[in-house]
Amino acid sequence: MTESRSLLRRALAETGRWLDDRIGFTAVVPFIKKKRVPVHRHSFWYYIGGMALFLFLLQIATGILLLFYYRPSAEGAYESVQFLMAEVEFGWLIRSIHSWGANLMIFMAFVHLFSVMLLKAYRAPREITWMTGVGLLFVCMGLGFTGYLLPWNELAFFATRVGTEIPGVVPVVGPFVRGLLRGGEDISGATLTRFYALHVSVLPALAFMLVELHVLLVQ
Amino acid sequence: MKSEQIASPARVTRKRFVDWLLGTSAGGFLAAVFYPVVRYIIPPEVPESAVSSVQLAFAADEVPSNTGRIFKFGTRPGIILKTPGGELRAFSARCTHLDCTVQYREDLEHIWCACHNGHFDLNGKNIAGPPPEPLQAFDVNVRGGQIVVSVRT
Repeated sequence: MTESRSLLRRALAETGRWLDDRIGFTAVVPFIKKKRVPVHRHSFWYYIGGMALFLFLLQIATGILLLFYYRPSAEGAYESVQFLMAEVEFGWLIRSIHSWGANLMIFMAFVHLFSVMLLKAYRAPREITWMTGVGLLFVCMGLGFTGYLLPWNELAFFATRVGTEIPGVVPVVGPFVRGLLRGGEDISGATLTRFYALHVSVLPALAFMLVELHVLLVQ
Repeated sequence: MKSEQIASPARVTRKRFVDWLLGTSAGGFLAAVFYPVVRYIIPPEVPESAVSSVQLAFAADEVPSNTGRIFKFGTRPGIILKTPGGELRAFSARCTHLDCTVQYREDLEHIWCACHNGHFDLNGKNIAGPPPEPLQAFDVNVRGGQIVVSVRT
């Protein structure tokens, strides 16, 4: 038992050394292991940011699972969500976690924003952390807006029609932007595929980059 | 020295107990997370109406001699053909090699699979190429000009 364990440990150590000789990852190990952050009696408020991060990772995991059954077409979207809810084992659970997690993530992001603002933690040298945080808030709301259309039910349809009408009243560029968002004159299957592309690839990629920078710069 | 000797096994037991407690809690948590995920990924069984007989969308006289047509047999493709001798025959159109859909070759006067050049004769028997088995044969009945294809029992 102990012999096999030490054998395993030696094999792991050797693999690690082999990889390190080629990649040189030990240089970043101390950086990952220990990060100095200010500790004070208001540190409690920064737990909220960690909760938002946890919910973000939960959204990625449940979102990937939803992709297994979702069909992004005008004909198939509603049916595939109904199938997911009624036929797929624990489909209701995964979808509900994604929906609740989305709302909670936006809520946590707002609480985090206000706590940082009221504690004046946005000042030098933390401006970039603040800016990436505000960027993340908008990306999250973009994810919420695009995700809302995907069930392709009546509520989603009219909510998106209203939501895309708002930029439409901007002078001069309004109608163009509205057409760009809708992929045509009105909400259609073209809007659905557009929002789907934003929701599952463009915005998550943006969010990932911003989260990395945001967490890297915590100080 | 003596008290230490008595105390030490008790300490190990407590540490072991806490380790066990933590280990089972972590294991239980992971199981609670991954059990639904695994069940979710396994595709649900769709109640597939086991088709045993279909009436084709085209009439018997729409299949001339020495031609074949693909039809839908439930969720699977089937092939109906009229031999040069004028006899209607139907088979599953799924090649027994790798499930490609076979077709009727008028020039060769037999069934052919385009994927890997598999050949079947007019009885569905595999005669050349990679297919390991003959095509599944169906029964063909013509009732009032309509073709009815059914599973051979």
